[in-house]
Amino acid sequence: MTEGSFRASPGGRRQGEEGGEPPKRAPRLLPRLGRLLPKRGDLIVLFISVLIFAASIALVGNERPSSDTVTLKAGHEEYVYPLGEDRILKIEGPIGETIVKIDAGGVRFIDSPCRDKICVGMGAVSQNRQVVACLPNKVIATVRKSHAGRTR
Amino acid sequence: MPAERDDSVKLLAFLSALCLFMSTLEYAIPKPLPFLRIGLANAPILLAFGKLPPRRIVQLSALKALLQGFVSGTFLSYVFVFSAAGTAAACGAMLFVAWIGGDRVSRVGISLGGALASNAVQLLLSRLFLFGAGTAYLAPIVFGLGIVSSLLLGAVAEQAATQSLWYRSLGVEP
Amino acid sequence: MLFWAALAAYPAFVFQPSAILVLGEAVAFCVIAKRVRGRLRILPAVAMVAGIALFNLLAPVGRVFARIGEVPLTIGALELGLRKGAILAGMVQLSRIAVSRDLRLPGKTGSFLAKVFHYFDLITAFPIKPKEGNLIAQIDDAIMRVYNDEALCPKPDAQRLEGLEKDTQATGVIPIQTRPRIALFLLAVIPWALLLLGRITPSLEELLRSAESLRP
Repeated sequence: MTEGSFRASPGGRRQGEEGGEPPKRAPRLLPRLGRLLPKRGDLIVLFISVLIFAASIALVGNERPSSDTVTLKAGHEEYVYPLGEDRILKIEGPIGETIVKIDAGGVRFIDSPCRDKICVGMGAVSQNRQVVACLPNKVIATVRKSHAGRTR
Repeated sequence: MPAERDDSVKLLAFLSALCLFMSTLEYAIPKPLPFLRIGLANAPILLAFGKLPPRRIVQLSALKALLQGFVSGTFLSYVFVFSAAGTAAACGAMLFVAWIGGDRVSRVGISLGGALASNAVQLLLSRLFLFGAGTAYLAPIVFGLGIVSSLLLGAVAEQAATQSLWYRSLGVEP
Repeated sequence: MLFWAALAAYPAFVFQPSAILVLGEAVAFCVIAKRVRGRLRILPAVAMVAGIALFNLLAPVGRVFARIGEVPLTIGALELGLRKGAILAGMVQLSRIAVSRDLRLPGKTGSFLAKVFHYFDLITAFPIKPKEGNLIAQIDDAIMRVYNDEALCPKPDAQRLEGLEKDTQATGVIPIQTRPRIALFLLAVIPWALLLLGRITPSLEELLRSAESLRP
């Protein structure tokens, strides 16, 4: 290694100490507590490590795994899918299949066996607690957002 | 003296064998969760600082990852890929800390830097391939334990460097 | 040959889309690994699969089968977690099947690795007596002797080492364990057949739906 880089001189030695003979008493596995961090640079690296550790704890609060989902209810059956991941689903109801699309724009019904297709005309919903429903086929889609994703 | 190529290769082979020995020891220690490791196999790499040049330290790290995978039988698995990626990140971080710290950092600081990089990379890979968003819950445990274990490991390596007759007999790399 | 058979099976196993088939293959690899390499630790494998499945349950996908408080547990997430966990566990066993200590590479790499394993054998064979106290000094002494004067070290298994060195010099490759060829062929080919089957195998959710529709 180049000049100024890590030296082989063992840690814990203070200036003026000779690097000569090994200690006469029995060798210890760990140094005394006061010599656990022998050099200033070690403290800095430890400080950075502790900062990152603290940041990771804060991250647990923010990144909740089940954030931003779409809940689909069809009679007694319930389905949950992440919002934002492109999907086309076929949900079976009492009068037929309702085709549901989930993408970056939210959730919408693209086809349903009902007569008037009001649910299809509702378009896409993406805000927290917004609902699209096909009442004749008993299929309801609800958006649920985490605290971070809510705008109201 | 390790300055000669033959001695350098001999020390590299010997430290690789020590890495293998340490990882066998660690494999035998029961752990609360299978993927949380102490990292005993990194101790010989820490000892290489000051005795081997950087390229040999890189070779030693690569050998440690390969041999661990070979012998523990995880060579064809995600475990090996994760371990190899973690080892590569740790090696880079350790060399960086040693280079930038110079006289102001000991093997303790080098060990801490290596653990931080290794854990960060492995958590990232876990996020992408294994646990998904649930990795967030693992992160504090992994980082916290990493700090404690790398601190102790670095201290043990530093003690060995001061107290081991064998280590002193190796001399200093130029 | 085991190495090549396991290597051939590897991609077909990793890309298997069906969770049910992946689980089955992983169990099969566990059985084969136990037979070929002995000593199988079931608990870590089960813990690994369960742990990964549990974490994946935290990101719901598909039909809800239960709730823990506000967190819905879905079949899709369970299937995904089981698949990932089974692939990981299966990979580990496939690695154990593929690799043995007798596998060596030719040339300089081969001789270097042989040297590493030689040192490893010497280190592990060196007697350490905890009851005599001063364990650290004993370990230091052992390392010193192994590194500086191998002649003073207890020989781990002189005959095996001699045999290994002779073969390395002669051919560059150590004789590999032999296995019945049919078994090897099946190990290499069956995962590929299952890969094709996996494309038409229903998911857990579909199986559940079929089971419910069959109910009177």
